Amino acid sequence: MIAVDVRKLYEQYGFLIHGRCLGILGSQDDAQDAVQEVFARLIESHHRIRDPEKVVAWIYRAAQNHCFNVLRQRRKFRGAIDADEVVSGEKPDSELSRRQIIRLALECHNRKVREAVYYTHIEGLNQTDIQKICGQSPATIRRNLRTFEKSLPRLRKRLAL
Amino acid sequence: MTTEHVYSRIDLETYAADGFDQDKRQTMREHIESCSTCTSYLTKLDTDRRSFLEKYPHGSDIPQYSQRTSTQIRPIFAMAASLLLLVGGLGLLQVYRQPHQDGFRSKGAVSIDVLVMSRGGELQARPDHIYHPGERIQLTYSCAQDSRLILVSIDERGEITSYYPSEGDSSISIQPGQDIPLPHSIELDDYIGQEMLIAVFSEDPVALADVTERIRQSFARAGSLLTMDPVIGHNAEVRTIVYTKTREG
Repeated sequence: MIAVDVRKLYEQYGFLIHGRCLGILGSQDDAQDAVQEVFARLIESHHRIRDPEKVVAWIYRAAQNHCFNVLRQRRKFRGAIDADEVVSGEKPDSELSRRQIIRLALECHNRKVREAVYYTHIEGLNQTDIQKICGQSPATIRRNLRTFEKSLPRLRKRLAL
Repeated sequence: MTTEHVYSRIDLETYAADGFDQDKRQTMREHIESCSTCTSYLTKLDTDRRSFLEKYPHGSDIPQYSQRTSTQIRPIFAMAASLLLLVGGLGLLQVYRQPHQDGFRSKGAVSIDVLVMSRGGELQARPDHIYHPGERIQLTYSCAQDSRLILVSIDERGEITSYYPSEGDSSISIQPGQDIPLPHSIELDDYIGQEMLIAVFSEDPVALADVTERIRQSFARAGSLLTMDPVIGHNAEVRTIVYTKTREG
C-alpha cells in the first residue's frame, strides 16, 4: 500500500483544482463537489504521476474531464432536450462569453479539438502549457483551433448562440 | 529592474504548489525576484490558496478512496441484482444484461444503463419498471477511456434501429466517465414484445452498416434474441440489455 499525505496534497493542490473547477462550473457549491471528486482521483493517481512537475498538468486535465462530464450530465438530466434549454431568449452577441465558449467546446465531438479550444480560449494557456497537459504539438493545436473556427457557424446555429 | 518574463502559468502554479526540486526552484526564484509578471501571478496564487484553505480547510469533507469506490459501484450492482430478480420472478418485464463472449479489449470496464423519464421529466433508475410504447428512456454509459460507441436495438422480427449515431454512418466519440448520459433521450416505438439494446464500444471508428450487418447475421444464426450473442469483431466490447414492452393499461 502506498501512503499518501492527503493533507499535504490538499494544501498544495486543492486551490488549483478549485480554480479550474470554478472556472468551468461557475458555482462555488458545484466547484467544491468537483474538488472532492478530482482530489479523490489525485489521491488514487498520485503514485502513478511519478514526476511532481506533472501534477499540475494532470490536474488541468482531470478537472476539465470531470467538469465537462458534470455539465453534460446536468444538461441531459434536466430533460434531455438541449434545444429547450439553449433557446432561452437571449440575443446572440458578437462576442462570445466564457459560458458560451464552454458550451460550444462541449459540442465538439473531437476530443483534441475540444481540448485545444478549452485550454486556449477558456484557460488562456499558451501552446507550451497546452502541450504539457494534452500532448498536442503547437502545430496540432493551431490546426485544431482552425477546425473549431470553421465549425463555429454550424455550432452557433445549433446552440442558437 | 524587470527581466523578460519566461515562465508559463503551469510552471508558476507548479512552483506555487512546491512541485519542483530544489535546483529548479532556486533557478526560478532568482528569475521571479526580478520579474514583475511572475511576482504578480504568484501573489495572486498565494491569495487564492489562503482564501481557499480558509473557506474549505482540510477535514472530513475529503472523500476517502474506499467510500468513493463503493458509491460508484453500488448503483450498478443494485441494478444488476434487481434485474436478476426480475428475470427470475416477473413475467411482465424482463430485462437482463448479457456479457459478451467475443472480442474483449482489456483496457477497462464498459457498461450501459437505462433511466426512465417520468412525466415530469425526471430521470430515474427503475429496474422494476414496465416499459410501454411512447415512453422516454435515457441511456447512460460508463467507460474508462476515450472510446467510440454505436448503440442499436433489434426486435424479435430482426428489425434493427440505430440510436447512436442518430445521423451519420460511423460510431460516435465518447469520453471516459461513469454513468454519462448519451446525447438525447429515446422514445420507445410501438413494437410490442422483446427487444435487445446492443452497445458496441470500440477504440477506433466503426461503420454502422458493418455493425448492423454483423448483428443481422448473429440474429439469423441464433434464431431468437435470448439466444443471440452478437459477434461484432473490430476488437470491440459489446454490452446488451434485453427488455420486454407491453401495452399500457
